[in-house]
Amino acid sequence: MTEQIIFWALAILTVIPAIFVVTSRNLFHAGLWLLPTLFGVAGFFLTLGAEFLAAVQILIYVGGIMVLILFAVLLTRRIADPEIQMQNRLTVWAVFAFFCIIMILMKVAISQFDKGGAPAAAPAGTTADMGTALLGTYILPFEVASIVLLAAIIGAIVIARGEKR
Amino acid sequence: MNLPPVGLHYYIIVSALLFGLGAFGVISRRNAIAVLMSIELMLNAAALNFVAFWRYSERASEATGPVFALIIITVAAAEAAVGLAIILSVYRKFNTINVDDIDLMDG
Repeated sequence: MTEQIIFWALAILTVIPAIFVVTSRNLFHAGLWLLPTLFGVAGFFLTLGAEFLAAVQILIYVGGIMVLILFAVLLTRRIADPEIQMQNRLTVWAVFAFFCIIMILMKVAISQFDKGGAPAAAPAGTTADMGTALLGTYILPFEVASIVLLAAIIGAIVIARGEKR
Repeated sequence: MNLPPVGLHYYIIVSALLFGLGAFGVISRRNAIAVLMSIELMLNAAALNFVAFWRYSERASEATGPVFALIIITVAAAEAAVGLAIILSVYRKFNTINVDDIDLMDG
């Protein structure tokens, strides 16, 4: 009962702001609407027993990516101008694609995964489990991720620097 | 009132809605930064799916799902940094970040 209430609260917190993220006319508001969605996904991670991931979600997304996006929005001129068209002429097809995607995925979800059962006991999502997994079985993806981040940092600087000083 | 326990399909449906909204945004938005936000939505939906399937699987005692989701978050951070750098560079060159007007490679 309690987990149902928590789930629906998180679902509303996640999905309703996501609608405004993709439809809001003001780009800055769209960026701010992304915040409750990211917090809702972090809440889902908590209910699923991945507490370390919830903390990482808030640190990286809310602390890093959101600030980066809002900075970029502030660099854009006339973000709130109602004269500027925010949707292109593919909107009808986009709605069509949206309904196709959710129809197919919901059909699969309800027909294949509607076991109704409670999840398996004792998930290994705590910080200690994550640390053991990352420095044990998954050490190669962990190290590759650090190289990817390094390449992304250098690439971002090189691309954003421009032609020459 | 007695409701059934929260099953795996609940999470898949929320994730499907997030992914569909992200796809809608990627197709319909004109501003490149808004497209980037929509991509973040889709990546979040994928991470949520990974964790949900892991939690309801038989082998939840191994931290497979959270590790995958962690890699997704890493790639999302790298993608945001490089994507915004590219948008900045495109803005310098074309003086716009409207993805419909950037048609240099449109033969």
